[in-house]
Amino acid sequence: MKQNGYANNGAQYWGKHVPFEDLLKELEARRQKALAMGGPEKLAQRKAQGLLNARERLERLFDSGSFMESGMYAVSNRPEDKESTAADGKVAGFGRIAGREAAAIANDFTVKGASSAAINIKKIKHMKGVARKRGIPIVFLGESTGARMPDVMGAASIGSKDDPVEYQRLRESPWAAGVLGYCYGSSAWYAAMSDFCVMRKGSIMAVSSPRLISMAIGRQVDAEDLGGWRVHSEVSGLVDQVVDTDEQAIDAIKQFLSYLPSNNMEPPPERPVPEGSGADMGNILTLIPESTNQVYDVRKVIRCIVDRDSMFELKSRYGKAIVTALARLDGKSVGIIANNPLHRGGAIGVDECQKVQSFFVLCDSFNIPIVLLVDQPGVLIGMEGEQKGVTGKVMNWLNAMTLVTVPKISVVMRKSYGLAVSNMGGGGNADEVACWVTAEVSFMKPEFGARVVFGVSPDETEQYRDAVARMSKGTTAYDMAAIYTAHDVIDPRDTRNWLTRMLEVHRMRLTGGVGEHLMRSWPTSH
Amino acid sequence: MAFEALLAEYEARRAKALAMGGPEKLAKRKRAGQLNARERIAYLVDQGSFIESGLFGTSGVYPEQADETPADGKLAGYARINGRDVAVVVNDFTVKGASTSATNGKKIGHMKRTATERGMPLVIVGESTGARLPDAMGSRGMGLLLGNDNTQFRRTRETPLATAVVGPAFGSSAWLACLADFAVMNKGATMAVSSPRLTEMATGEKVDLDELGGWRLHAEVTGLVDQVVDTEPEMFDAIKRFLSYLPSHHREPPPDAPVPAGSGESMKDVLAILPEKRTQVYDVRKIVKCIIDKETLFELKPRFGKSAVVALARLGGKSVGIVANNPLHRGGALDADACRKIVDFLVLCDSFNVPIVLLVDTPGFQIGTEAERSGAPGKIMNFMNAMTLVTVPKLSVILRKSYGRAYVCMGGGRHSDDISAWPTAEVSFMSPEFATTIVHGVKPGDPGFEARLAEIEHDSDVWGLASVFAAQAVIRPEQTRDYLIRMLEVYQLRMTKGIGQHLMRTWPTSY
Repeated sequence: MKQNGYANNGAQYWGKHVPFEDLLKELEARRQKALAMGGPEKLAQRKAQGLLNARERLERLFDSGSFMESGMYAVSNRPEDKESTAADGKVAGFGRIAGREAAAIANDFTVKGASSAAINIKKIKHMKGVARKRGIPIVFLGESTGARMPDVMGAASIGSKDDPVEYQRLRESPWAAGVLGYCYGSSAWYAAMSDFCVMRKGSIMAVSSPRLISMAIGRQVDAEDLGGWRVHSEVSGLVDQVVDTDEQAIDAIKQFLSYLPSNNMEPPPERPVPEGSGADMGNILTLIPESTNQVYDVRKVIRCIVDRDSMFELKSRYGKAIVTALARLDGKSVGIIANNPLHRGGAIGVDECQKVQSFFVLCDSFNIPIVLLVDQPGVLIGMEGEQKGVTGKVMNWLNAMTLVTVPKISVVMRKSYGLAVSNMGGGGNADEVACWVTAEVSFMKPEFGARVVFGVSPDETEQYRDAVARMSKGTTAYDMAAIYTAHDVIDPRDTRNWLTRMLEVHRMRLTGGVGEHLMRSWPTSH
Repeated sequence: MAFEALLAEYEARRAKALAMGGPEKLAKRKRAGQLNARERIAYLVDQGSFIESGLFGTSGVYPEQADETPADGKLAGYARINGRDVAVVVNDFTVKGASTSATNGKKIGHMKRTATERGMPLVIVGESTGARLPDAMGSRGMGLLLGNDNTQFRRTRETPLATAVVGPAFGSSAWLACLADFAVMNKGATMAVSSPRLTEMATGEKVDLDELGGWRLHAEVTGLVDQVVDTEPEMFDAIKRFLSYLPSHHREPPPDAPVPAGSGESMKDVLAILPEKRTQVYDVRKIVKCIIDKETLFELKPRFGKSAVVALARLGGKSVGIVANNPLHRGGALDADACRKIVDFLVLCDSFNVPIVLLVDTPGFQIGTEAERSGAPGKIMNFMNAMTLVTVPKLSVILRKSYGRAYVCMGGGRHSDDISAWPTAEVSFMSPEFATTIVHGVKPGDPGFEARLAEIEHDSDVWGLASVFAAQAVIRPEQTRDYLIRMLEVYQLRMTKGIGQHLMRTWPTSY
């Protein structure tokens, strides 16, 4: 017997007798209404633009048939909006991604621009809570005009906000976000707080809509200038990848999650090693110029070393003198941090520091070992860096480095100078350091050292040459190895094997592959 | 006398170490009006309390340089400031420009370790040319200098770290200032990764010392420096004062101080400072000064992110951290710099058990192209996230307007333990003018605009907030001080004797 007049045999509905059939019909009708979202016209319009709607997005995200919706019958709490707010504009539920459980929220732009209001905020809260408590990733497919008006107007409505952990991040389980259209308010917030954020070209992410901004500042703003993909992938660094279509964005989220565990209390999943992995190691020497002044693209080196086609680069257009990428080595997830001499000779600036810092936090929070590939002339010095507070950012990086508890393995490929030697794993900061035979480590370029220490200028040819020669002494791989600052010197062609073996040696056996997560509460933007 | 020779040697070595870089260099400093390292210690710490550690340390890389490297250029030891134990490191610029080398690196490491393990603040007075050359050159140099201590730049906020940036501060002096809870700089000092000379060599650009790392840059643009002063004594006074608000370590509450006579007397003037008109500005610091104990305002980063004021102060003799919007700048709209400054301050207060008082009068976050380029959504979420992680008491007072996401960041939506509002408070999602246009599609000047605006304004008044218990009290402005003092008592962390959970103790030290 249930309360409220339900009976087991036949049905009593609020005191009236209603046959089951009618009740089930109503269920189906309500289901259809919810599934119809904002109506055929709006849906057709999207289709014509080549955009997936919220339910199609979820279909693409989850394994076929695995989606279980939560809150299908939720609607606006304003009586006059009940009929026009299917699922209250945010479709939520659980499903499997490559066989693993996940939660997702897809904003339905056809319903009141997927604006945030009391009921759909409850849906998000519930999904986040389940994801956190039960250790499954959560995916935010964002597209929203921001807070719903007039719902949020007035002191009483904004005063009814009652979730003091709504925007708290303790990285219990991965968050991934897609910026798939206009993303203002909460969809921008969740994108900024996520571990991975992919943006479709043409989307806009900003605190407020261009309309509101134009009103506030009294002149028109261009949406792309305000928060287009270039701004967020190149300048603000909030976006990790940029793609052309909805489908690519969702696929990127799935690939991202494939490297991560479902939660921070388990190690990342392993994959079979693709055939042909490591087959190019023999050619690695052709990728590196013999002259130290010549540049190359370190991504080619990474691809050579990691499991075939497993490189998944993050923030490729931001802080380009460093490459950060998830990848696999012998089937196991690793985070790669590599200097890229292709850009500014690999000199480390503010953006590079921010990029590395956020990558450390990601890898360390989700038990992914880190591999550092080193070829850097030092921190970029000069006015521009100082104006952006480069000293503080270098310290954030070093501080983060000392807080990382997953294994860190460093390979010095060519040069490594200055304090950044530590940033890249020297000075005891990595668990294991190997030098390639080409390695060269010192405080600064021998040419600068000569001028600073001996006070000679490049004009004084003979003394200068002599001074440079003296400053070049004791900088080789073997000098590093002699004082056991490098643990080994290796043939570059052995790199994949050496790393694979060292990652085995340094497995976190005592904790079943789980780190201490000292940075789990770290800010989500840097 | 027995042991005469040994004792004579001892005295000679001691005298040599105490002579620092020699009379010539010391005289030159004196002429330039600069204190030397030992004078700085004398000014900084309680008289007679300094006990040195490493007086006889010298260059560890070149033993033949022992004579030129008394104390290896960095003085270290233990002392008391206002009767409380501290560890100090003071760079001696007269010895090889206080450059960093193997032995003095060990000294800093030892001081940092002792301070951390024994729970006392560490004070570092930085003035340094950076790494010593050629000591740091080559694999060996790097191995020896960097290999000492891989926790060298680790910050987990067990005890307060205060630094002074005086003169040229390159390399470690700059790094340590960035890691510090408080960095004070004097005008004329320079803080940068590398010296202008090296920078010129590397970049080929001619650099100006001040532009590269002068006080204006770090006080106004980077925000790395918390206060700027004119003279050395002011610097050390600032450090002493900073420490007076904080506990010696994170496992104890901050010390109490007697309440100065006359505190709270100007509460009655507070309404004269606040303009009646919503669009008129005022300097919130004047209101802060009325509320807190007399002359206890200690503002941090006053020249950075100026639409917010962050300050240590006392209320009823107890340390509090004040976060206040300042309508004087940008009408109080919070930009990326203001967010960073507040986050940095929340981390400081929470890590050292200092309760937080938020005084709210903001139209929201700065929006627009510039804001997005500086990653506004990310900075706003950092602020939001930090507020959720603070475990010390948080009390908000809404003075005037509080809109949108900023309302929540400043303590709304139960982000503060207690919210009180003045009758002048006005809370909504956005300013009533914009809301009228967006909700009703009418612009200022259109027929009907005024009537609808009035309606929306009415919905935004303080009584709506109080009726849904989103404000726990509506108070008369002149009662603010008494109310806050009482609420700080109510919300004391009794179960942990005033100690918070320090969830942000590992947070980065720069934003």
